[in-house]
Amino acid sequence: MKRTDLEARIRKRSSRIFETYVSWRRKIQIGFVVFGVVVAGSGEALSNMVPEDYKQYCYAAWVVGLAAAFVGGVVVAFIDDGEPEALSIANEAVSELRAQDAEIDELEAEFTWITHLYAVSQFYRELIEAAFLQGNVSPQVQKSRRAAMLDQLLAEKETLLGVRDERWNFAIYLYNSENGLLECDTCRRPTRAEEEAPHRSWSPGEGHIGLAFQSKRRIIAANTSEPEASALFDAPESKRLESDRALYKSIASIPILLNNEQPVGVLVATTDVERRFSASRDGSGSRDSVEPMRQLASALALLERLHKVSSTGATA
Amino acid sequence: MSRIARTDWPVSDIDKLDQDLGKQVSQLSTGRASANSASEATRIIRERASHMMPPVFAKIRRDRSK
Repeated sequence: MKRTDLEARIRKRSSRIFETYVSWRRKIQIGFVVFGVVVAGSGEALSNMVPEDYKQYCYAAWVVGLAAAFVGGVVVAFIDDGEPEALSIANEAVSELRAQDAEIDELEAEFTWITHLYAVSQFYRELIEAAFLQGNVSPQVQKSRRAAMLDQLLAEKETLLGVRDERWNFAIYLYNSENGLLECDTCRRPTRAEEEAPHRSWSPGEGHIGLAFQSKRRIIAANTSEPEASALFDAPESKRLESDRALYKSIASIPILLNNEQPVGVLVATTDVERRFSASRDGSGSRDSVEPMRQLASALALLERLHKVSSTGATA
Repeated sequence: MSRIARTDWPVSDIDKLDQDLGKQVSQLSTGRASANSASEATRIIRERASHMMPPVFAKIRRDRSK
């Protein structure tokens, strides 16, 4: 049944119920008044006709009659719920229905988020299992595995991260011990031209990427234009671009590491929409947009460790 | 009464999905994946997610669309 039909039905049904109620209320009111008048009148008339010993009963009837007439005429009038009240109550029922509907939608979104997150995690697990069984592979194959994992997160970016039609950027930076820089290994952006454009490399401690690597902790800024955030996360003057401020309004840099060891790199997500990534949930029921990236970073760390073990024969 | 062969024993829907996902992932992990593998993996991931959704939401959606 359509929402509008349901609401119309509630209003119509509520109205009908109240019409019935009002009709009965009037009948009862008239009944009380008529009964009261008849009894009180009879009591009054009889009191002049009966012997003195019975007069007390007539007065009692008179009092009861007056009380009934009073209840019918005055008290019932005070509890009169007419048509406007009936409509008001029906509207309240409709509002409640809408609120419940919104709650169901929110619950559905929460469940969708959880189930998609779980399914994507299952993909990571399957890929790591396959990588474990395949043993040593070339760096190129390893790179394609990282890209495949990032691509699956991106395929679900709207559901998991809330990223829609905006200027987003997801990248895996790996630490190159030869030059001491964090270099872009895999990058995904809305257009191929943006992806293939040269990317900056970062020293540990430099910008939010270098800071996440050096401090081994997630760096998340909901709004980089806030003075506190820009002071911490802005790139050094020499590496800063004019477009940075407009493109990177919300950022998340997650170190790729196992057990608080030295990270192998950093998973980075940026967007030009403020508050897309936030360190804390705002309490309004929004999903944790950083958790899917944390899971990917953990899976990447494990994948890199397996590769290292299988290619060098080192112990895990 | 006919006996069901061991190989014909029914496989659960979620196992089928996991087997299909495993095939795609296996190709992706070797670096020899076809162009279709990634999108096929995405489709299976979504189907797996839908499979795990509580049925009550599907019922609500059906009722609303009537």
